Amino acid sequence: MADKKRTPSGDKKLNHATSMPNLHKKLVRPVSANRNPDTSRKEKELPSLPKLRVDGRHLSAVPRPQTFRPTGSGQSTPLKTSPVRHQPKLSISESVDSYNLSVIDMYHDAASIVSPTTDVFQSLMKLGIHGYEDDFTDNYSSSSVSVADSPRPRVHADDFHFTDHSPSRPHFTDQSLTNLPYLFPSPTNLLFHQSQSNHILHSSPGRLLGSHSTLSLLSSRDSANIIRNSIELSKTSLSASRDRYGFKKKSQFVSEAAYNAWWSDYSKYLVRRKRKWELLMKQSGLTYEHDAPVRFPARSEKVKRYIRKGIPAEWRGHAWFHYARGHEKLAQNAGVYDAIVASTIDLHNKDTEIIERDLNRTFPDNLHFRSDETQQQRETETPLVQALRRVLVAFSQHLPTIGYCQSLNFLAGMLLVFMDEERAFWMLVIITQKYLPGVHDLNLEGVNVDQGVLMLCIKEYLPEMWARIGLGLDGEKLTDGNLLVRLPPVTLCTASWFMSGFIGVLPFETVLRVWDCIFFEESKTLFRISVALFDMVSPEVTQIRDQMEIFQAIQNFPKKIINPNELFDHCFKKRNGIGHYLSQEEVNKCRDFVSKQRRSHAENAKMYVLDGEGERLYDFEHRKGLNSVAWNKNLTLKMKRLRKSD
Amino acid sequence: MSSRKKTLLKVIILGDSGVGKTSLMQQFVNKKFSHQYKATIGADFLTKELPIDDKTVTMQIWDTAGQERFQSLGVAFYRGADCCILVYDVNNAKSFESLLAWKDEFLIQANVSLPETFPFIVIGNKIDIDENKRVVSYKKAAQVCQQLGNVPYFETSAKDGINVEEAFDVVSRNALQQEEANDEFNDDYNDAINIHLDGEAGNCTC
Repeated sequence: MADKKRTPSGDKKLNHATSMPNLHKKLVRPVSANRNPDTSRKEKELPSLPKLRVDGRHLSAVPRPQTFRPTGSGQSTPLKTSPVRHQPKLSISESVDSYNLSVIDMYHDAASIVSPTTDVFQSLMKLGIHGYEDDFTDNYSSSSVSVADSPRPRVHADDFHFTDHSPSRPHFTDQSLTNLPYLFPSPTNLLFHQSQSNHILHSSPGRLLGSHSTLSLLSSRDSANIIRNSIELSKTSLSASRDRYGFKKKSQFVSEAAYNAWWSDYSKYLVRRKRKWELLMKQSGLTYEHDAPVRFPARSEKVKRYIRKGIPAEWRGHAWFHYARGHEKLAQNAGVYDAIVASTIDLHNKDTEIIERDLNRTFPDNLHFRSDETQQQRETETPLVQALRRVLVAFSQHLPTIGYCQSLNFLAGMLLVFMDEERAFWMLVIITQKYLPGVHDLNLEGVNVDQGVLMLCIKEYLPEMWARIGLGLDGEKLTDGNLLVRLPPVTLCTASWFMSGFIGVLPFETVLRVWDCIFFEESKTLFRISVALFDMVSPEVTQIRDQMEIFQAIQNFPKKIINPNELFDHCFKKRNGIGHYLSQEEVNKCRDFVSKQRRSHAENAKMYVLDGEGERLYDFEHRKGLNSVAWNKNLTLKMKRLRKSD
Repeated sequence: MSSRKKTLLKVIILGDSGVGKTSLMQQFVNKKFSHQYKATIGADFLTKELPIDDKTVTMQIWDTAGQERFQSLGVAFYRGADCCILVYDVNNAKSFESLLAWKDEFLIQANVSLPETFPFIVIGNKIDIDENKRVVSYKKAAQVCQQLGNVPYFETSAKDGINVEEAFDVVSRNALQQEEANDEFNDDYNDAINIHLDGEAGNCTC
């Protein structure tokens, strides 16, 4: 709709300077000249918006921005006027535990919305947990910027009062740490969405209000929010068979015991990282009330390091949305999603047919997508499955060049675990346009291009691995001339890494860490992680001769990486970590190059077979400080040579 | 026949999305069924050692994504296949109608030397579901398979493990025959450009 005419949101940069006077000037990227003045006005408004009062009574009478409202600051229609709010669809109650039910109950009573949880929140804030030290042993920073160089906003000692190690602080044993409910139900999550729903209902009464299906749609949307309240550490006590997202801990490659052994350590790491993030937010002048921060620190080396070490799980939805420029996208398209959903309720076509078949095959091992307790429960659709249907159908209508492509179900399903469906929808749009361009298109050319880029990366950076996998089906060596057209068989496996953003490839917690980076550091992350995986599996692969066994080893290896830090340590290791030298610029250029090569091959309807053994079509020249002019010149020369030899 | 260190039979499973390709493969290889299979993205394979008469062979079974556009991914691995299993869902008419398209697609991509003798097998899956929901009768299916060139036809339930073993037994025997015959055409299928299709596949114009 209107969205298509606008500048892709990904090209714009929000300016957070207004809210972070402490931050070093250098790190605030310049505001582009043609920035939408409307957006900039709204941005300026943000810091001055009154905060949601947490005394449990006062939620309204706040002037609201015109198009979008961040969590915790928006106007809220008095609760009693909402038909939705008082009819929470409780079908999910069959699959969630009593803890969540009590959360739902809470929302029946406006007066109790905030105070009880706030009390818990504040008292838990006072808990002191050790583990601050690792900030200085960080090895995920870019090699070019030392820790000392990174800007540390000056923070007054008073700023730390909330983490003060007071003697009255309860003492936590290791066991209690594992079970510590340090993530809290965030009423603002629910409030945000509901107030937004109300906003939609009020702003376009003719179209949406009174439509029965829309009402039931909104109510089930609200129930979908519940999952985000269950992402707390206590939900993964060592005795449970599922993780805090509702997935079974046990997989074909990881036993429950192995999971628990890892989790008892990793959960402590998460507690430490959460404390770090809270400090960072404080230092950046940002709030995280009710554990639902809307704005996040502007880009800096420090923030990058923090992101590589993982965003707190309960902040992820907001953080991803923020760094992927979701707010802009949503602001430009207010109401668009609901309109698409309303117009596609009865849609039946080739895409919806496949969507229907995939709904139950998205996260069948997740409680919130399919309960497997009884036959009857299996056949009852969960609210999240219903939301998934709406998002995928709406998407297939909104971007007809993609329509529905299998694997989008995993991306959308993952997003729905962390955000409401309207945001999940726009994130899916952003992901398929910005981070995975063309990857899900009708001819999947984008994924073939990315596999070409990945293979060139392996060839360049892991020559020993390339010697093993850079072979055709019959074991013949692929040449520079044909490798981009006749991609090695292993790309059948790596294609799914890209298409589904590593979902189902890496264990869930590990996928989350990769996604944290993608939205902050863009698509180079996918290539860095892929190359790191190849590097890690390399010792195993060099022991194998058979091509198919190599394929299988590469396919299965990622599924065993239960500890995300293992992968990240490898990717960003100080010496020769791939994370330090494969830049976005290089990836973009390489994508361009591979795409052109494949196009020209297709146009000529024949394969280039170059006889010159040493002929290289693409050189990685990061060591020479490659600039685009040099690269283009380089490429032009090569193309000339190619044409001659043809 | 010829002396080989190890007989590897390569089998490709094709068919529309959701007809039960992964379930069939899992049922045959691991003797299990799960309600929790995810949609297959890209391609996946399993291997199984099995005895055929007096020799032991390794069967390598490739499971594929059912959505049409996945054909744009490297389908190079079709080449060198010894048998192709075409699967449809007896409760889904459309998946039945797609059989011919899948067969043609395979022949083009696999570049088999003699399309008319290449062993296919058709499986009608999900016969455990309520008889009233069934839309493709055995008679109809058997008739079409005859037109496809006397392709063996099996009706299975991957869920209950009905007829799966029997179907794969025929697959393995036909694949072995093809593998042995393939040796004689080895020179041919190394040549990616040479596609023997035009006018040769006369018996699949039903």
